[in-house]
Amino acid sequence: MRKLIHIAPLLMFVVLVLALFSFLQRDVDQLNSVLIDKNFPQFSLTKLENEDVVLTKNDISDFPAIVNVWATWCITCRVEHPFLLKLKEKSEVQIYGLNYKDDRQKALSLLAREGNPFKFSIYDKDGLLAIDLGVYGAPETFLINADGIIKARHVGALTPDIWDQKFLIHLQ
Amino acid sequence: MRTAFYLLILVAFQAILLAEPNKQEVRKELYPFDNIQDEIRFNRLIEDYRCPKCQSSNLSGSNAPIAKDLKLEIYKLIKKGNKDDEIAEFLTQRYGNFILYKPPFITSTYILWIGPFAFLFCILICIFLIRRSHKRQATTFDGNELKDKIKSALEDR
Repeated sequence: MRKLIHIAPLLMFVVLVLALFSFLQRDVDQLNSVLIDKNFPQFSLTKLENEDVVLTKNDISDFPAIVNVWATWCITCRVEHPFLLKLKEKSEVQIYGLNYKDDRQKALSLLAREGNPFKFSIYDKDGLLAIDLGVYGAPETFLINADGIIKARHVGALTPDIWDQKFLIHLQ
Repeated sequence: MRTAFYLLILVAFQAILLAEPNKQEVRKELYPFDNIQDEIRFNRLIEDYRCPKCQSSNLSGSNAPIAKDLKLEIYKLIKKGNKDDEIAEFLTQRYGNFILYKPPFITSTYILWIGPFAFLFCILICIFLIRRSHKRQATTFDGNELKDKIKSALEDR
């Protein structure tokens, strides 16, 4: 008993160091979204494909859906682009785009060249809706379930593995 | 000759110092305010919030696009007459408590706030117990016993 007291401070210190060390391994790039279990925020922005059309939250109406934040200047977005195209073919999930701080013409020509996985894209030139969504780096993808509630957010390129692990579980 | 050399170095230093753009001056141009109070508030707020992209620096120290956007957003909110806590609410509603350098006192952060003090308390208790056991050892040491032993050892001779 007396011995235990003597090594207790050292033990506590070791536990503290181990605990802090385990935090170092944690993936801090993936911040938890505040919007999980909430509705998609209100917005009023033009459509990428037609600048005369103003889109609002009500236009995102087919669920389940994903909203993908993308831009032509974002290299990782190009990496996930083929996966989005495949998803459009294979899955019944609707894919909406949020064109983030981009040039309309550049964005449209990229979609024409590489293929367009999106039902439509919201044109967010100033990143206003992106701020409301808590976006901090493209690409980001939000999953909206059949009830129109945001259930997951992924920062970085979407891959088949991430789709299965993070998104599919909310769709069953 | 030597004086000229030192002078040259001095001039070079001066040039470097002048070329270094003054952060405050640049800020003044980018985010113009009508009154000094708002400007001070702005400069304080962008020090107080964390950049969500480059997580080890604050908004003020970051040049990430999102940090610029958030600085602009804070600027607009101040211009609109929002108070500090309204701005804090705006940011945490979108980016979560993560954006705060000073975490709030809620269930998930109890360990952050109380942990160090609890740790210190445990250590103090340990120190107290160890010292007490040492003291007890010292007081239970019986000098007479030793005396008797020595005496008997001497008598045996």
